[in-house]
Formats: sequence, structure tokens, C-alpha cells
Amino acid sequence: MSSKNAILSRLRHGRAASPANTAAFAAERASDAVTPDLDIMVSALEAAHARVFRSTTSQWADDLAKLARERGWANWWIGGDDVGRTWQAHDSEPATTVFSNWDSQKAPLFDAAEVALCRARAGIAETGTLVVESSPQVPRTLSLVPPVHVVVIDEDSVVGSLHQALARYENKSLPTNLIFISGPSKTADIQQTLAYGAHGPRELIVYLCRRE
Amino acid sequence: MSGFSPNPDQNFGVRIQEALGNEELRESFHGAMTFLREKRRQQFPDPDALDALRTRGAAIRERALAQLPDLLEQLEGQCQHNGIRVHWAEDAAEANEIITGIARKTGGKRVVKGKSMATEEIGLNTAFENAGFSCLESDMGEYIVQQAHETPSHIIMPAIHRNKASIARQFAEQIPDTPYTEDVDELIGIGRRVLRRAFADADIGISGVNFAIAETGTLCLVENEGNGRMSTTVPDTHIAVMGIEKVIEKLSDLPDLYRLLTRSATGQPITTYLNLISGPRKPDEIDGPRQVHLVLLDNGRSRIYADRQLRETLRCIRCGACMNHCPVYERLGGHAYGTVYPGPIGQVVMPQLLGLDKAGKLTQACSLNGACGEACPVKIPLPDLIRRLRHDGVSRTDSPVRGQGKQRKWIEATIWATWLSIHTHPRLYRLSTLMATRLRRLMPPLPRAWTRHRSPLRPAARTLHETLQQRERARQKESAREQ
Amino acid sequence: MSPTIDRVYFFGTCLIDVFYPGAGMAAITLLEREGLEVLFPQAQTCCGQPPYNSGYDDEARTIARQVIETFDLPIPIIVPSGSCAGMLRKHYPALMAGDPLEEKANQLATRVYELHEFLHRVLNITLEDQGKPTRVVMHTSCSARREMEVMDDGLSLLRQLGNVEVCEPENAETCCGFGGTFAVKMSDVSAAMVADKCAAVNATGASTLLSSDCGCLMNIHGALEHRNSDAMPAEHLAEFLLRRTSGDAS
Ligand code: SF4
Repeated sequence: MSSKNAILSRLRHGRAASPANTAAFAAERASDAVTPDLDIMVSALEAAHARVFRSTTSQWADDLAKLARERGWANWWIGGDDVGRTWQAHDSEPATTVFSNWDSQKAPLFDAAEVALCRARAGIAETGTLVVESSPQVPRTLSLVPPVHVVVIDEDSVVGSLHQALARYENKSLPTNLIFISGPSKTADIQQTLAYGAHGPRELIVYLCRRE
Repeated sequence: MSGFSPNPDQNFGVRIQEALGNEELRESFHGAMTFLREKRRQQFPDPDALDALRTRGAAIRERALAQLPDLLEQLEGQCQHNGIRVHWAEDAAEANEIITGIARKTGGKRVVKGKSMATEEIGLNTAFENAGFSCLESDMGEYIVQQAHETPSHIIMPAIHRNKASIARQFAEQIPDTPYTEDVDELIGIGRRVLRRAFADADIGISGVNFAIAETGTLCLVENEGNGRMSTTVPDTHIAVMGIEKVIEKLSDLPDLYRLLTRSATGQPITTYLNLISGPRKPDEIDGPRQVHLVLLDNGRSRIYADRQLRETLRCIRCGACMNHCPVYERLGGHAYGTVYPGPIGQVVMPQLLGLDKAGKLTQACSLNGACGEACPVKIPLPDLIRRLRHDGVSRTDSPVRGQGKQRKWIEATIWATWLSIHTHPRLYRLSTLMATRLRRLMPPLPRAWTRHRSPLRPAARTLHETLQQRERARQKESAREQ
Repeated sequence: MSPTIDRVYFFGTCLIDVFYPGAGMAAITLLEREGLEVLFPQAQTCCGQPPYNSGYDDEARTIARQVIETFDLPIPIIVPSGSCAGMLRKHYPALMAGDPLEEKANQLATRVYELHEFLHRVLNITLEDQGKPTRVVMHTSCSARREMEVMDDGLSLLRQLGNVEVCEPENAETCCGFGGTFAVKMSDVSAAMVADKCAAVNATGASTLLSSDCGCLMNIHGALEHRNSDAMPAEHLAEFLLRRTSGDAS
């Protein structure tokens, strides 16, 4: 008998021998839907050490250009999403690398990339969370490897709770990688002292945009 | 098991002595546990809301366990549909064989690992070493512990027993071109530098799984550091290992469990990353692993499953809150247990995995104060299970747990038999307590184990039974005289 | 159970019987003072918790049968200890599942009250303090706190005493290290636990240690005395409540 069959048959026997107490399930109730509150979203993100800028769908690139100048960022990595294209075409002429080939670009991604930019599909107000879907336009490592991660998100894509964010995928197939991001990478593994930039980005910068 | 004992009962007493004698260690744990408990408390300001959430968490896990075989099959089907290959392992040996086999086929040699208790349980690092692979732990805490040839002392915070000075020394000694620094940001920076290289070069990434969703064929990983994402995204091959109990039914089951996990484990409202993996890189995608494998590990779980009470063990979401709240764990630290899972959940899981003859003694390190059960986010009645395992350890009746009855000692059984015959014969009981009060000056004080730390205890001059009997007699006399 | 309670059983517990009979008498007096008739069956011994916690279920079951038969009348059973009350209320039903006495065990469980729970929630007594100003430190046992959930009852009664300043030790919710046979089987761990409890108790600067569980009391007080021969005295809560309200307060 294969291990699979052996395990399953033991489980089925076990279940028959002592059936579950189904009364326990009655306690279940789906989490409540929450109306999204953008102020909460901002304060939750800031509490998690992210920087948040309120902007608009037409304004964010100009705002970002100002920040980029201040910070002196020279090496931008983008994917193929709308945000990346907008940024690439911006008047400030940022030096962008389009991330399009893993094998040839893996080394510079790890060694040279300074800032990555991508769009968040949705946000969760309650917890200050950005929902990033992997796709051909948004590679998984874009939001992970460069030390600074800039995210653009539309206000009207923000939902109240994780429950609501997941409900959007009900009866649809999930992206190969669905990532919920709530702040820069961090660790408290050394004497419970919080340090940022453990493995992923040290900085998370968010442009929360009102639609115009 | 990588550094863990297959027979933790052996020398348990010695390890306890060592732990209690180590001031630095006790300070580390006391500080860390107080900190974690306080953070958790702040996350749950409303006791009624907490109770409702825990009830829901328990119900979600119970519902999953009730359908366990079906959900596993559904999970397998959905994963395969998504392009994830699924493997079943009866025990540690088979799991290691499967994993090293997959690794060998890739032709790669370099393995990075995200934090995973299931792989600790099967001793995967050793298996990899024996098969000629280098396997690097990438969680900061695990990395520190691995470099020092130690084992984790906590399931969530593996290096909790270490202070920053000792980590500073270790890094300066073991990592080339590293100056001594106690600055935590710098120390993390050093780890980051070393591990980023390892991620970029790795051929194979290993991870655990916090929850697996049967409905969608999705693996959920919860973390703050990003090493889990690195391990599951950068290498060409990703192998996830999970205990079969980790499956949940639906996507909508995730939010409550996730919320309970982060808040109970580290007192965080949310972790930096919740990583949902539903397949390898698609042909048009730019990155991500080319192969994803899921290893479903039984290792004794299906045996536990057959017993309705012990089945409650399988609800566990490995948050570590039970150890954070355990006064014994706080004073001993994780290593004293000698087991992969220390603290209350370890005292319940390990005897079931290793047998009561090898790990039954662990259940004695518990005052049944109930703090663990009160903290558990899925309401596992840990004290009841500890007591149950004590029972199976000394009893001759049928138990699904190996090594049953092996903790029974003639002397203890005799003591309880004598105790019973006194306490079931009220006259004998009253006579013996009477003797105790009359001879109280002569009575040997309680065992030395008691008096070494406490003043000796003397019976009162008259028992409550006797006092009340005398009062009763006096009253009767009184009323007789009145009549 | 009749709506007006005029009779109750008293379950003395074996520790009180031998080591703290004064606490038992005080509890009985508090109940009688409220006009209740208190029945103390001489056939009672122990609740069976020591063997039960050691895994000797058969032995515990034998005792449980005896308790069930001894406390047979449909009247409340008052227990001056959270842990013994917990045994009767929370564990008998599980222990006796499948036993011919199962029904009776379930029924008995509904009649069990921890002493202060009964005084406070059922009798709703009011206390008038007659003593001098003093400061006490109250240790609530883990079973009173978690299993029976009666911590507030003890503290509420205590707070009715106008001249008594009530403190709790730091980390009040942490076990004192007693745990019955645990204190003997794992004596060093237990000692480390009680040492911390002693330090926290001493740090309050209180002049009396109180608890409603004699196991904790004998553990903490024994350890306090072991350290310091003129450690603060310890008293069962019932004794203290009676002393403060019966005119002979000192
Ligand atoms: S037993 Fe409960 S508290 Fe302990 S690790 Fe598991 S889920 Fe967490």
C-alpha cells in the first residue's frame, strides 16, 4: 500500500472509530465586513514603520520625483504594470530597469537595484496591508529584493478587512503568488529588539491615491 | 533528530538542574516571556471578543480535522491542478528520502531553508548533510542557532535563549571580516549580507507551511523577515513540508486563524508578510520557482487522530503562546525539554510522537496551573491532555500512545493504593488524621523535597472532623440538658 | 435546588482538615452567620484530586463515588478551596463519564460552589470591617482564577473591608509552584517558582498573606518562613473575613 493510502485509511478508520463532535462547529460565524477607513490604514502602516503619502492618481509620479531627488535614488526597477510605465515616462527621466528576464537580471537585482516600484491591487484598512499579486507584469521578487519598495495604491481599492480582500478571489483562481505586505521586512530575533530590513526591503513607501 | 534527543526523559532531571543554575539563561527567558505576554495582552483588550475569536478558531480547526482525509485529498487535487507536486510521507525517514530525492534530481547542491518546525521534527538538516548538500537556515534566529551548532529553544523565536553580546561574539568569530558589535541593527545587517548571497546562489528552497487551503490548493506562510518569501521564490525548486493536520477547508477560514496566530505568537496585529503560494512560475511569468513540491508528513499524526481526546492536539497552529505563558518553561527555557517542541504543546506532542516510555516524564514538569490552556488561540485543553498522558503513562488500559504504562512505578502505585484505602474508609481516615494531630510533634515532616525550600509543616492540634464532632456532641448534650 | 436555601453541605477538604481546621471553622461560621444550617458529613475525606492529577484515575474515581454518595441531598456543596471545588465541578463529570454514577456526578457538579463565590454571588453578603487599618496581599490560586473563575468574588469581599488595603503581588496570575505532587516531584522547579512568588509578595509590604486555597498558602508561607523566621503571617481568606467582622479583630 502506498504511503498515501496507508495514511488516508488510518485517518478514515480513526474518524469512524471516534466521530467528531459537530456541535463545536456551531460557534462559527464569518468575520464581519468592515467599512474601510483610510485614516486607520495610514496609521496602521505608519505604526508598522512604513511611510505613507496621500496623493492622487495623476499626482503621485510628480510627488515621487520630488522624493527621488531628495533621496538621490538613481537605480529604479519596475515591472510591466501601469505604475511602472507611468514612472518610466515621467518628465524627471528616472533611470529605470525593466525587470523582464530572471536569468540575466537576477545578479543585478540582488546587487545593484536600489528602489523597486509596483502597484498594489488592493489594500486592507484595518491592518494597513497592501495586496500585491504576482503576474507577468509584477514579478514576485520586485517587492522583495531591492532595499526600498515603493507602492502605489488607489484609495478605492482599499477594503475593510482581510476577509473582504480574500472574498475578491472567491470562485476565481488565485495568482501563483498573492502577497499581503504590512510594512518593511523586520525581525526581533536578537533579544526582542526590533530591526528593519532583515531580508526584504528596509523601507516601504506608499502612495495612497485618490482617483482623479 | 538534529541535536534533539530521541529519548528526552533520559537526563531530564540533569537538564533541569543545569537550566535552573544558569542565571543568564533564566534572565533571558524571564525578560522575553514577560515581553511577549505583555504584547499579546495589548492585542486582546476585550476578553469577550478574545473568547469569541478563540471559539471560532477552535471551531475552524475542528471542522477541518473532522474532514481531514477528504480535505487532504482535495488539497492534493487542487495543488496538482495548480502545478504543485504532492508527496506523502509516513514518517521522518520517508520524508527525508523524498526531499533529498527531489533535491538530487535538480542537480543543485545549495539549499536554503525558511523556518519550519516540521523539518526540525524530521531532522532534515542532518539528512541533507548526510546526502552531501549544504543546508543553510535563513531565519535570523535559526541562522544564529545553526551557526552555533545549537537547536532552537522556542518554536517562534529560536534564539530567545541568547543575548546580543553572545551573538556579537559568535558573528565576530565565525563570519569573516566581521568586527565585534552589539548594535542590533548592525548584527542584523551582517546576517542580511551573508544570507542574501545564499538566497541568490541557492538551488533549492525549503519551507514549512502555516496553513494549507484545500479549496484552492494554496500554501500560506506567515512571517516578518522575508526569508520565507526568499526561500520560496528565488531558488528554482521549492519544497514545502507540512504536517497533515495543517490543512484548512476554505480561503475564508484563513483570516480568523491568521489573526489569532500573529496576535498570540508575538502580539503583533499582523505580520509583515502573508505569503499565499498557489503554484510555480507560469510560462509567461518572470520569476518564481520552476517546481513546487508539497510533502505531507504523517509521522504519528494519524495515530493521534484516532483518539478523540488526543485529536485535540492536532488543532495546534504552532503559535508558541502556551510556552510564553508557562511558568515552568519560563524558568527552564526550551532546551531543558530536549525536544523539538518544548513547553506545554511539547509535553503533549512529544510523548505521542516518541512514546510514553521515552518522553512520558516530560508531563511531570507541569503544575496544572492552566495558563497555557487559557492562552491557546484554538482552545486546546493542554492541562487536560497532560493529565491524560500522565494517566496513560501509569495505566494498563488500552492507549493509542506507545509506551503506555511505562511510567508506572511500583512505589508510587503502592502509595496511591494505600492512600486510597485510607481515604475510602472514613473511620480509618479519621483515625489516621487523628494520629497525625496527636503525634504532630513526632511526625516526620513532609519529604525533604518539600522542606529543602520551605519550613516544615505540622498538623493542627485537632482536625476539622474532630472539632465539628465535638461541637456536635456539646450541642446534643446542651439540648438534652435543656429538655 | 429550592429557591430559598436554608441548608448547605460543607466539603472541608483534606488540607484544611489536618492543617488549617481554623479556616474550615471560620468558613462554617460565616455561613451559619447568614442563617444557614451547615451539614458536615463525617464520612467525607478528600476530593480525589491528588491521584487524579497523577494519572491514577481509577483511584480518583473510587473517591468520587464516595463523595457523590456522601453528598447526596439536593443542596449546595460549599468548598473553601478553588482547586477542590474545581475537581468536583469541572473534573468529576469527565472522570465519571460512562460510570453508572455519571448522571449523579453531573448533577453534583451543578451544586458545587467555591466558598467566596457562594458568599458573594449567591448570598450577596455585606461585610462591615471592625479592624484597624492594615494592608494585606491576596494570592488567588490558579484554579480559583482560571478553572472556577471566582477571583473577583474573593477580591470583592475583601474590598468591602473599609480599613483593609488590598494588594496583589506582581505577576499575580503566575502559579506559585504548588501544584500538589508537582511540588514534590519537580521540587526544584517548584522552588524556583515559589521563590519568585515570595519576592513579589514581600515587595508589596503587606503585613498578612491571604489566599482562598490552602495548598498555595502552605507553599508560599512555608517558603517565606524558610527564608525569614519572622515572615508575614498567612491566613485563609475566610478566617480573615471572619476575624475582621466579628468584633474580635485585632
Ligand atoms: S498548543 Fe495552542 S498555544 Fe500552544 S502552540 Fe499550539 S496553538 Fe499555540
